[in-house]
Amino acid sequence: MIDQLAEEYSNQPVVVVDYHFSIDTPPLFDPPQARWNVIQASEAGLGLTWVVVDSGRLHHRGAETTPEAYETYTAMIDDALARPATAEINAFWWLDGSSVKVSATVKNNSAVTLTTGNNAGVYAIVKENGVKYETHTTYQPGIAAAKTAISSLAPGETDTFEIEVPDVDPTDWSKVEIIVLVDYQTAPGEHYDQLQAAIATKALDVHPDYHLFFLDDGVTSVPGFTSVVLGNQGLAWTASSNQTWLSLNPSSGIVGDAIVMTTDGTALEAGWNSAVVTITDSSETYTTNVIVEIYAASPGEEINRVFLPVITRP
Amino acid sequence: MQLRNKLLLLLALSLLAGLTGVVHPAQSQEATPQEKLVVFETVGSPT
Repeated sequence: MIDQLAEEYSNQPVVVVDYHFSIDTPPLFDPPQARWNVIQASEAGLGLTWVVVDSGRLHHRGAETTPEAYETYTAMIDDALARPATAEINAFWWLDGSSVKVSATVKNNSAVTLTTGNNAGVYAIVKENGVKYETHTTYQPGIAAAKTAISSLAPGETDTFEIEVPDVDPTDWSKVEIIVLVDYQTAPGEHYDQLQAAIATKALDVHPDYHLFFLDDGVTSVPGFTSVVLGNQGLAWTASSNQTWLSLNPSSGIVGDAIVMTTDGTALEAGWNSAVVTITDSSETYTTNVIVEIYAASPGEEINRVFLPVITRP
Repeated sequence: MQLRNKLLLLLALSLLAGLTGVVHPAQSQEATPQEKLVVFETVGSPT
């Protein structure tokens, strides 16, 4: 049902995050503590399924039937959609080892001063889209989260915050989405309220990040192919290949530029040939890769190509 | 044209340009407010 909700709201600015809660002793997996603290503030005790929007401004617990849950949850989402944001968030993220690091610039458009006194914070939630973990029952798993407290951000003020989510271990980084949000506690012992949320962009990215070719026996020419470097506006980068048979042009540029890759087919060995192009920004903080794989047929080997019809929906 | 007349013409043109600006002020450059993103968080969902 939660997956159905995510699908139904996929064309609207709504993200669905599912945290697992284990009642085993000791628990196998808990919701990320930073968000669990916020969710628990919406009502005393424990009752599942527990659902919040706007960080607990609206919440519901213990839906007994699917129709009850569906009706309640859609009403909560629609209510939250109708309520305007009271902050602006611009955020980008990058990887540092297994840590996700986020830089978020927040403008407080609300009438509330965000401080440690009202537990205000900027959160980064790591979600892996379309993956079903054994510990989760949906394809919307929130796998980690962290909070950076806001010491003081008065109405109208803007500040930049860094959030670090350590030990992130997804099954597929390409499916990871970083949700950044700002909230505060409305009163001691009361629920939280959310000013705004945003999806963080990657500081440095490349598209496509994978190229695959099959070369018939005797063929040495591989057509030139390109990847476009994406990310923070104006960011300068350099690129290098770990294989001599793969040349890059240009090998440096700024975000928005494309890299044309050319291959010296005569230098390829029979079988699989793999190269990694590493793109790094000028501060050497952000890195992204392009994988190039070329299968060169051995003498006498025939590569069979099967072309499948594709039907697309209008 | 004498220098005095040229200066008068320039003054008149400046006034006209100013008036045009008053009648047609520059459009507001105010940025579109950021669209709200709703985060629906669930714990222990059965399905």
